[in-house]
Amino acid sequence: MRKRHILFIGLLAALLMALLFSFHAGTEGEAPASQAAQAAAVDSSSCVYPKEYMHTHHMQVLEDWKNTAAHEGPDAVHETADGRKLQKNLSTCLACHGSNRYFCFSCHAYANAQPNCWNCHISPLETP
Amino acid sequence: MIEQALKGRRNYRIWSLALLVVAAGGVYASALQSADGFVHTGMGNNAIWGLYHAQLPFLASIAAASLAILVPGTLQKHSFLASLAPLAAFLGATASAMSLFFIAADLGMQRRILTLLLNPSPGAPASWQVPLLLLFLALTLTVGWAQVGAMRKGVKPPVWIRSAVMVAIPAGIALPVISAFTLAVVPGSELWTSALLAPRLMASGVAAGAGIMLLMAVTAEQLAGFKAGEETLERLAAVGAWAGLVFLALTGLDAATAMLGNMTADTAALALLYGNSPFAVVSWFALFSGTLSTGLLLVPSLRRSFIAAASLGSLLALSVWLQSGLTLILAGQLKDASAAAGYAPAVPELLLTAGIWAGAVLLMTVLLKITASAQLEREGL
Amino acid sequence: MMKNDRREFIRKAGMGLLAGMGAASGLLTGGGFERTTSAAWAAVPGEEGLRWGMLFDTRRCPEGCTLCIESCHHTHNVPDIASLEGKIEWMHKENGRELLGSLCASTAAVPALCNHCAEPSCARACPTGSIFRRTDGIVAIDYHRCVGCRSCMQSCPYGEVSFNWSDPRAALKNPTVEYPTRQRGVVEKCNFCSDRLVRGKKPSCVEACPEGAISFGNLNDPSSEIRRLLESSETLQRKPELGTRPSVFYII
Ligand code: SF4
Ligand code: SF4
Ligand code: SF4
Repeated sequence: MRKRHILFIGLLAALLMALLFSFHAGTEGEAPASQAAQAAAVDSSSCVYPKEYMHTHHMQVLEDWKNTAAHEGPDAVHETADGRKLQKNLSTCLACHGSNRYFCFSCHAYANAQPNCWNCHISPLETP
Repeated sequence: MIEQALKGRRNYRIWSLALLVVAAGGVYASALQSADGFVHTGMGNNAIWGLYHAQLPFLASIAAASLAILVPGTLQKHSFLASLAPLAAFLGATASAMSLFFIAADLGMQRRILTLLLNPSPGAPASWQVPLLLLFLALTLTVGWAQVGAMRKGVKPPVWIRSAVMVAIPAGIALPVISAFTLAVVPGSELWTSALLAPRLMASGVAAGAGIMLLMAVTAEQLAGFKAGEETLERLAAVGAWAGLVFLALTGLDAATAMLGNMTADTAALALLYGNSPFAVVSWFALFSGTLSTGLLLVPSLRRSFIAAASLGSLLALSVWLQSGLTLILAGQLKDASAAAGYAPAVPELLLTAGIWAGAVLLMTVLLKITASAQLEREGL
Repeated sequence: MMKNDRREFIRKAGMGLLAGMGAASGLLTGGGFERTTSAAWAAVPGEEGLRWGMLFDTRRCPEGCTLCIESCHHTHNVPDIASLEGKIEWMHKENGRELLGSLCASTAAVPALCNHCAEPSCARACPTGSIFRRTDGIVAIDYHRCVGCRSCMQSCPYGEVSFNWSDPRAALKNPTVEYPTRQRGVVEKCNFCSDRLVRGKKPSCVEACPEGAISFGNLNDPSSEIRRLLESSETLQRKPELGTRPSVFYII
């Protein structure tokens, strides 16, 4: 009986300690920050994926960038199949596509898609 | 079982209808808030949290307190609390449901609410709140429902109830602890960083929980013919009185340490709470009513009178709500006296708060009625 | 004998555990930046990696100048809201005595911003990990994830987090196209110009200062300019006693 009590108290202590450690808010990600990201460009002569893939999957690509970029911080770099490194950032897209002000909107209007990107990002339509 | 919720005498229908109207006001205010954000509240840079958040520590402690009745009532054989066990389970469920609603009401980005479950950050105590509340809600609701079902059929409650209660114990105890820890991460807010906050929340929860249960049981006794038993109610009142005493003692110890140690930041926080903030009146009223009701509940003859016990219990619960909820958050977040003038709840904010409370009281009324009629049915057999 | 061995083992294990816990909570591995006298610098073991930091030489900061603030707020589309209850600020100037405590002899206004703390209490308060410390020491906010609970705002002891109580776009006259705005319901604060660092530029406030009063660099690199300044001058931090280990320093 005594033994069981001691075991129980030990387990409880271990649990408490595990909890203590879990409350220590650390730094996200383990690797030391690389400066590599600073080399990543925002513009490029061709897209991050082939045109056909982007036609059907640009939302997934953007969704993935949206979810990961902030947390990867300086390492939020997208590497294309041919080895180019680009920042995971909507401005990477707009560096090319921003030149056609209606690039996003003509399709989205036709498909009645209402992405909420422009709640915060300033759309090419809003620029003078 | 559920059909009992709809049947009832005239008073029951009027009462439910009134609650429904207030709850509908809450729905309206909530729609207003989803459309325009927090402009309809009194919150701002000087009152970062308002009425919504101020309910959370109190409700977490009430949820945990339901265990004080539920555990002996279900796990012990021949417990004098057994007749109250379903009531306690429903009280725990209602308190956790209310917490969830108030957390949701307090979000600036309500449509991202699932993020709270999908992206927890284990290092932050606040991450544990919603998952724990959901777990506790599910457990207590099932346990209470199964108990009432068994009561109605006149059979013993199913055995798995015991395991469900066992799981509910750590989850329930964690609720006020986590609630205190979410406040403890704020450096320099002396009302919140006290190590006594978690035990104080627990004790205050048991006191207020017993008070609310007294009110519920006596009301159900008078109106719906529910029978908890005289001795049970007296013991319940005693539980409330002793817990109130512990709560007051812990509050006093905290203040005495701050003053004897001349801990300037702590005494400054106390001065804000009881002195130079608009909340001082509320704080003193809460302290006074808490002391009074605790003191009177310690008198055996008063405990034995149902009406006296129920009203003293309600006063105790009110006092705890003010101390562990309202003033703890609203005065605790003040950086200095000049910020104190900042907060006055706006009408939609009051409507939404009242709406959630009314919804909860309605839910409790229905559950109470179902419990009482289940008991009557068994006696009718 | 057996018993003694075991006792010894338990004692050692306990000490190891304590040391581990101390290290994990930052008690025993005090980083050097909190020792603000030059003599203390030599005795402190260095830390690895990158930790961006900022240093204000307030002797060079003229009364009434707000160029750094204007530049920051323009670059990052910080809305200009007049009401105190709704105000949003990434950078602001405050009475030096109030900001830095009694060690600060002057009451002249000095610039303040998020301290990018090494032990950020804001991050410990966030239920969704939306405010977090990056590997380069920058405390960042994920505006795509923030649920607007304002826990971070409550727990930043410096009041450096602002909440969008209303739609920020309504209060923006001349937005910068390259940087997004925020939307109603999320918090925001200084991002140490991570958007500019990634393009190899210095922070906007640093560039805007005509007096060269702001230095920016890697606190963990002994050869950086900011480290040289830190080692050669007496500096102050805001509320160092709270243990948040700010990365922003002041020369008075
Ligand atoms: S200054 Fe405030 S917001 Fe910035 S990192 Fe420190 S605690 Fe967080
Ligand atoms: S307001 Fe946003 S960033 Fe701040 S604690 Fe809440 S979810 Fe995290
Ligand atoms: S570092 Fe950048 S974001 Fe921070 S205050 Fe300076 S300009 Fe603003």
